[in-house]
Amino acid sequence: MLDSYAIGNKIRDLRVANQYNQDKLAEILFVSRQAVSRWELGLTLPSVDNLIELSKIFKISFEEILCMNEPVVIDEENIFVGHDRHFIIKKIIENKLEVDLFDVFYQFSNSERLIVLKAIKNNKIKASLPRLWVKLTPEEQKYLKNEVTIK
Amino acid sequence: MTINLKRMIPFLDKDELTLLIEKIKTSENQEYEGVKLMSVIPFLEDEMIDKLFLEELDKDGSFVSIAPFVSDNMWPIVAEKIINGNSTTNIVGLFPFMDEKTLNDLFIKAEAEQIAGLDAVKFLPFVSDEAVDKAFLNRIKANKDYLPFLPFVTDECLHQFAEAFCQGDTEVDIDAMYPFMTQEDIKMIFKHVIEKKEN
Repeated sequence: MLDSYAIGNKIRDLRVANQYNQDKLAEILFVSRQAVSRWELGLTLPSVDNLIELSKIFKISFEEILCMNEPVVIDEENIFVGHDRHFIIKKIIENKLEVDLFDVFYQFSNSERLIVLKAIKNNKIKASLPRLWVKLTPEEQKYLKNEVTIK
Repeated sequence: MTINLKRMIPFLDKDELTLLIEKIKTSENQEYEGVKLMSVIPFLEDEMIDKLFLEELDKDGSFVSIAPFVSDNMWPIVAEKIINGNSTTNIVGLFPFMDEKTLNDLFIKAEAEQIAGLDAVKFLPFVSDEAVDKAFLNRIKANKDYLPFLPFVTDECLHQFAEAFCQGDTEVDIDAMYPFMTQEDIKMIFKHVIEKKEN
């Protein structure tokens, strides 16, 4: 999964560095200025064709625009700053992002909490459940009840 | 000297607890001498909790707050009520408590639009990966909106679309799907399109 927010920042930085405004870039790519704006805000990603065109315009690889080889840097105070929320959650449940769930659990939305708990339940990620237990609602504790024995 | 009824709850016997519940239920503000139903629930026997839960569900009351205490054999009964249209309440709050089989059964019915007013997308964080993938593939076949499913579909399932696209299947909406694929699949797709443009 891609980090649309980081990719949006990258497109904006490349556009500014190459001295294009949004209108000019939109004109070159035959898309609307709003489309470029939405890419830069991380709301959508360019189509495959547009992304290949962007890589030609900015003379860099598609991998670089898509931030593929960049390490994911997070701020523990707010792990979602500068990133797409789905992307961060997916990285966590794929064990590709090291976070202390006990410290960051409060930053998740209700549905994100359940997605993370489902991953714990399915043994996709390891977590110190007895430690995390105090942070869970009764509903979440019930959801995990067969997976943990609280001593 | 006044007796604090709330502090007395752990020491009440079955009949006294039943009487207290009746008093709470029949009171205007659902409270008796400062005691609300939720304060009594943890001290009740399973059978009584299940009965109260069904009563609250039927009248669209505070059934979600009782749900953590309900016994597992209640969920098929609840599911049957929902499927038969005997319960019109918003049951999304119950999903975390339901067992996987009941949840998957309900999801399949919701996906088949057999449960009025229940959006199958609401099930996605709770149902099994297999159920999500199957429903996703069915939606594509039926030309139905599959975009809300994409963050929940497995990498393995999306991989088959990456392969199909690279083998020339132009029906695949790769622009919608590629952001959710693995880096390997994304690279494969982009390399395929670049090669095609160069030739």
